[in-house]
Order: sequence, then structure tokens, then C-alpha cells
Amino acid sequence: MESPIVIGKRSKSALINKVMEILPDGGNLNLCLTCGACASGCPAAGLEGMDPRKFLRMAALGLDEEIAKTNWVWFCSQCQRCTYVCPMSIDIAGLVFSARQLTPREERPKGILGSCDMALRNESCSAMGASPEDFQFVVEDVVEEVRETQPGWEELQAPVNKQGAKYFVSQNSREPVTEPDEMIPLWKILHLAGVDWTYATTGWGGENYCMFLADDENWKKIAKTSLDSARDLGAKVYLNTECGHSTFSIWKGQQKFNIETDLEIAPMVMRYAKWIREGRLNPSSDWNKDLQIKFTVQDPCQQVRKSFKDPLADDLRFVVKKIVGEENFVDMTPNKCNNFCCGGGGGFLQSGFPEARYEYGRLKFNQIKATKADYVVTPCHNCHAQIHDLNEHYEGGYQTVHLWTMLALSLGALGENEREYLGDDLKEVWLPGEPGTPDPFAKK
Amino acid sequence: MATIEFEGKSFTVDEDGFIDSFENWSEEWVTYVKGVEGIDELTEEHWKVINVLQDYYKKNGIAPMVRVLSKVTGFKLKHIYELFPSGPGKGACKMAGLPKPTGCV
Repeated sequence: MESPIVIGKRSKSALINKVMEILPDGGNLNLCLTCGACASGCPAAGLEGMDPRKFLRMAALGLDEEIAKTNWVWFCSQCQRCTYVCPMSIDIAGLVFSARQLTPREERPKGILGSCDMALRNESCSAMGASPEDFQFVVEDVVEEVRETQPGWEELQAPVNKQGAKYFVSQNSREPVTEPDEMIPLWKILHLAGVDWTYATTGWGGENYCMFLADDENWKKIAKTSLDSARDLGAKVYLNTECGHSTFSIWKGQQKFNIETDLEIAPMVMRYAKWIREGRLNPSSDWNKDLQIKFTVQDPCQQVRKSFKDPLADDLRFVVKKIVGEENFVDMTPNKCNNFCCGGGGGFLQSGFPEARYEYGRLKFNQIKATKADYVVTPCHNCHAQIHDLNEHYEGGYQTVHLWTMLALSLGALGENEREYLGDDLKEVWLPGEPGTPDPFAKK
Repeated sequence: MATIEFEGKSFTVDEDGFIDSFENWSEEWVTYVKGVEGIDELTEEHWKVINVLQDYYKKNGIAPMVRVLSKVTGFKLKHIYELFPSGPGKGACKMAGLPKPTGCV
């Protein structure tokens, strides 16, 4: 049972007044009807005896000191489901964001702080601290190996600092730093779609843990560095890799901090869908006709509910059904903008509270198991890491895959070393050059 | 943070089992992680990886990208996984006393 709110000597609430000042027109934290819709659908409700409604009440009662003491502000993944279901559209996640700032910067969770500071140490803006030189070396080394070892891909490109390329592509550091072969499927997809693209040595990192740290100054600095880098290269479109929080941090950061740019900020999933509709990519689900392997998708909160809404979720389903076959897709319930966060967002994976994170993720785990799907497709790094981790923790027996893996497989382009996250059932399906595998270069 | 006592030494570790500071690394820590990781015997190849990681960390304050580690040691990534079943981050870096990697690990 949750503990009651104890009202002692009331302090003047700095927190709620500060948030009221920055709310857009029509938003008012005092409008709360205490209906509890926020708490009833919040995966963090109950952790440390807190929930969104209680948190808002405490702020409204001026209990800033008590709020500052709770770790719950780091358990809230900032997924905004509470705001989505609130009849008065109260921005509780915004309140939690401000509450994170009640803790002095250097005392905030070490993992989030360290990830933010790493991104500030050089012009890469990489939360893993990788240098521009090392990034360029890895990209060039990997693409050269593909050209030499994978027949048909002798012309594969992975340009760095290509002036005038239409698309600037951000790259989450996880792949170049720890699993470089995982970059290859995306390069192949871009090649097959005939996309003129480039990475950059400045601002290539797609991550923004300063946003999770509630460090506005450095959230802005990273977003601006990356956007300016794209502009300086003459790009027209800033294309976020399959990474939810980096997509949101750039998209929202540009608006929040009035960063001047003419760039279109676009998420990768919607471009995959566009290129399929235009016939530039021709995935086939024939590989799954007999196998009948079932797939579900995780709607990343950062890309769906918080930014590009149901049109992105619809595109995600369009792409996945093309890849795995309509009859092999099983949706979670609820889904799209109403989906539950997995617990990988908001910096939770780096905040140092794994037990709370597993408890938060139980709702997502049960939702996945209810689909009976063999695979969960996650077009977001933090979703991928958390859902993968939930599987190991709760022994779920499912696989967690990036969308790029499945798209490349369905194009006949997924190499042997690019199948780390596939189960044994798909390790050898449609290997390039094998009998039955379609020629990815064939004109349709 | 938890404390681990092993062969007369005391190590403070974070929630993922990385020691709190590179300064506190010792060969006893390597022996401890070897047991946790299920590695039967430490070979010269293990030590080569550990030494490269430590040298890079002392110079750069981070672990090297795995491709850089492969280039310097001459070991393919697959072989590094054979040496350290948990991988270069959770296995080799932990054994070398480097901190838990930041970012989307």
C-alpha cells in the first residue's frame, strides 16, 4: 500500500511555479482533476510508493524538499503516457524533468552524468566518448572489409564529411564502438535505395544524455553542434538513425532552444516506408511463408507518442508487415501512441537502478508475452537494450531485433556477421548468394 | 555500491560489477573476474587484450572502440569473444579495471 502524503511545514513551491512559467498556452498544472488516469497507466506507478498523480499533488502542495529526495524522478522514463491520457493535458513529465534539476548536477546519477560529460569531451558528441578520428577509422575500415569480402558490394559507400550530400545520417555510438558489423545493414539499405548520404566527424553521435540529465545548456549544445554540422555539409535532411531519444532530442531540441536550421529533421522508420512505397526498396516476406515466425513491434515513445505520433507507428507496421508477412505480425495491446514504455527511456538504463527498471518493465514483458511473438522489432537503441534485458531477466524466450536487421534480411542483403540478434531459426535464412536468396540488386 | 572481498583484497563495485576506480585494480581483481566469467585459464592473449585496454585507457580516459582493439591486438572480434565470453565490454574491460562504458550500452 502506498504511503500517504505528509504535509508538514509548507514551503513555497519553487518547482511548480517554475513549470507553470514554461507551460505552453492552455497548460496549467492546477487543472488536475485527480482522476488518476495518469497513474493507472504508468509503469512507474508504485515504485518507491510514488505515482504521477501523487507526484503532481506533492508539487502542488509545495513539497519540493520531499520531491528532491525521491529517486522516482529517475524511474519516470519521461514517456509522456500520463500526459497523453490526461483529460487536462497536464505536462507531468515536464514537471519531473524540472524536478530532476532540484538535485545538483554533479550529484545526479553517475551513469547519466558520465554519458552527458563524455559527449562534451570532443566534437563527436558521442556519449561513449569516441573520438572523430576513431569513428572515421572504424567506418572506413568496416566498409573496406565489406567491399573486399562480400560479393556484389564492391561499390558500397559509407561516406564521412561528404559535402553536398542530401542526407546527414546520425549514428548512435553503440554500433561503431562495440558492434561495428551492425552498421552494415543500414549502409546496404541506403545503397539499395539510392540515397545520397553522409556521416560527419563533427556531431555524428546520435545520443543526448544531457537531455536525460535535465541539463538544458548541454542538451542544446549537443543538438546545435550536430545540426550545425549537417548544415555546414550542405545537407537538406537530418536523418536520425533508429534511436528514439536522439530523434527526440534533435527534433524537440531544435524547437525548445530555437536552433536556427533549414534542415528537415526526419526519423529513419518513415524514410524506410517512403522508399518502399516509391519502389526504391523491395523487401519480400517470402522467406517467412513456411517458417511462419511471429513478430511484434515496440513503438518507441520518443519517436511515436512524443514526436511523430501515429503516422510513424503506422509506417512501422507497414514496413514490418512487408518484411515478415501480414499474417505473421501480431500487435501489442495497447499500441501506437497509447503504448506502454518499456523502461529503457529517460536514462533509466544508465541511472543505476536495475531492480526498479526490471519492475517497471514487467508490464512491457507481459505485453510482449501476450502476443506469443518470437521476435520483437525495436527501432530504438534504448528499447532494444531494455527489451533484450527484460528477456534475459524474466527468461522470456523471445528475440529482440533492430528494424535494419530484418529489412536487410528481406532484401537478401543481410550478411553472415550481421545476424548477432537473430535466433538460430534465422541465422542462415536468405544468406546472400545462397540458393533461394533473392538478388538485392535485381531490377524490379 | 557493493564490496567484494577476494584473496585478502577489498573491491568496491557498481551495480554491474565494475570496480569503482581504475586506481584500485590489481591482479587479484583479474583472478576474481576470471572466476565470475568462467574463464578456465588466462593466456598471453588475455593479457595482451588487458594491457592494450589499460594503455589506451590511461592515454584517452575511455576504452577503445572494438575495431581499434582488434587492430592493435591483431585479434578478430570473434576471437576476442572466444577469449572473453561476455565480450570486450562486459568481460575484458571489467577485468582490466576500466569503468562501465557510458552511453547506450
